Amino acid sequence: MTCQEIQNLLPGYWENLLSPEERSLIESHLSFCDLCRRSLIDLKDSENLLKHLEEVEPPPFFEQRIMSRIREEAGRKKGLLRKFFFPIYIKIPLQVMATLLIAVLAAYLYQKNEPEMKPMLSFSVPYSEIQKSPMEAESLKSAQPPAGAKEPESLQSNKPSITATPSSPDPDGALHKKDQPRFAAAPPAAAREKAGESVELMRPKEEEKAAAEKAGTSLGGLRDKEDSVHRQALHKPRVEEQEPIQSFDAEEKEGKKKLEMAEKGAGEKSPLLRSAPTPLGSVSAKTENRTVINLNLQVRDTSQAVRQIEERLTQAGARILERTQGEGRALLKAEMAYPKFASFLNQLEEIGRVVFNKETLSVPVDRVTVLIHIFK
Amino acid sequence: MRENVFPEKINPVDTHRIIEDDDESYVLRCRRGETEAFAHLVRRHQKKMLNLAYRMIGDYGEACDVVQEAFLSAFRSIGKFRGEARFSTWLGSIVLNQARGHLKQRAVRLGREEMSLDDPHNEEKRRFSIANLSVEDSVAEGLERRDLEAKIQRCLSVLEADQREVLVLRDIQGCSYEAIGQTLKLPPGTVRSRLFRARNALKDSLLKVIGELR
Repeated sequence: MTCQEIQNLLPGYWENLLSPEERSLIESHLSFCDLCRRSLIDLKDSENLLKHLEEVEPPPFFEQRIMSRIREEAGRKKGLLRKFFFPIYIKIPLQVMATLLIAVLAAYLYQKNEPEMKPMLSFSVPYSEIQKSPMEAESLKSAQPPAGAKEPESLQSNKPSITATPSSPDPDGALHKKDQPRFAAAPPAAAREKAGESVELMRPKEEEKAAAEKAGTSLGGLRDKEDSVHRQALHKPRVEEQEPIQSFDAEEKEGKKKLEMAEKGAGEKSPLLRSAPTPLGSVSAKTENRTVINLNLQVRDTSQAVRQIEERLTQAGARILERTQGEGRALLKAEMAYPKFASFLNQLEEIGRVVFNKETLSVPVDRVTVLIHIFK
Repeated sequence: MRENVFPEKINPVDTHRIIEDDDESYVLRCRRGETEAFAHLVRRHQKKMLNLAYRMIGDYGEACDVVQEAFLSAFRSIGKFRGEARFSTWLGSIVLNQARGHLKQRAVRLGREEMSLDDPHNEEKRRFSIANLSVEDSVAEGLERRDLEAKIQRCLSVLEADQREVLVLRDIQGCSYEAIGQTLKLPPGTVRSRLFRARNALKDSLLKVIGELR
């Protein structure tokens, strides 16, 4: 072994990390080589020098300096964590709660808005009922049966006449039936289904009420009659949804004929005569940019009122579309700009008592079609 | 003189367990997000880590910066520390990495006109440097211990970085071969051979600078 090789192994020898063979080789070499011996001593000395190097002390507030940076870093890290990487055991329940809250809120809002949606849906399908329902309600009111015992019968007899006008043998029915297939595809299927459902739901209740009324004939009286009429009027729009759909023109024709029939005799049980204005008397149907508003106007003199109204309509720049007059009642149909309607309404209130559903004016449109039912 | 926290240099059973347990509990608390638990670890290891960095870099101010960055880096990645090695070993490796990065940056900053003492391929320049060092420092020969230490530090600085690392870890920090292997991620045989070479190189350097080592 050369001195260089021995010197390379000396650190291992010094740390006692060599094999016995290597150790004996080095020891035998060291016994005669002064240079390598000297090298070993230098090695020990250099190691001692290193080991006894004085330690440096950290500067003052070194820990605080480090920790201030650590805290700064931790704050930033926490902020990011809070924003994006929540612990999963907090994040998931929070997300579930939020989803549930949104679902509940959506359901609540849907239910809250449903009453407003229903008249819109039901009205858009059977347009004829705009004209018919107030009149029928009034007829029910006016043709009150004399005794409580007769009341259920009158209600029972009214039902078919309201819900199934085509079944009557008069030419109206024929016209109705004839028109039916032509306009059957008019309403949206969903609306019809909904209407059907509501009818199905209503029927048993009506039957129950009728049975209850039959049973309790002795309790008959004016209040009961009014209640039953009121109930009938409230149920009507839903029941009427069953009717086949007709076009606007066909409805107008029908309305005219009904008015004519009303003129013939007050005692007849035509739908028109039995009709009366509903308490809230109006429903609206919104088309693309116009709304139909039903107004019930109670006056002393119908013919005079019609003249006055026509004057007001002309002043308001309205276009009178239809005018039908019967005994003690009349129907005016006009179209006007939406902004003029408010002033017109004020003028109407000077003529008589106006009843209409103000909710129909909640959505602004360009033009309004006003159906004014005038009665004493 | 020097407080030695490495297991084989102190009580091999009891103290080792206590130290390890202490670090572990604080590390666990840090991983749970308790920032203040890290203060304990800083307090406990700052001096040792500063000495490690100082012996590697040779400049006190720069060593302080490196240690600060190393602690910050350790805090950021404490979630990755799984306890395979002791916390001090893991922290030591971070300090060494930071020190290496710092030395590289310094070398780049000084540029080509300034010789890199750590360049292993520039043997001629290194020899020249050591000669200059000895001339420079010979003026201060026989002076106080501080001067001697400065010389030893300069000698350390002219060693190759990997040799310096093992020397500092073994002789100054008192680490075991196993701990050095864990810190530098080297097998024991490589640690040993590198350490032998480093010892011889330091001895030669010291002989040139100081002359008599006694």
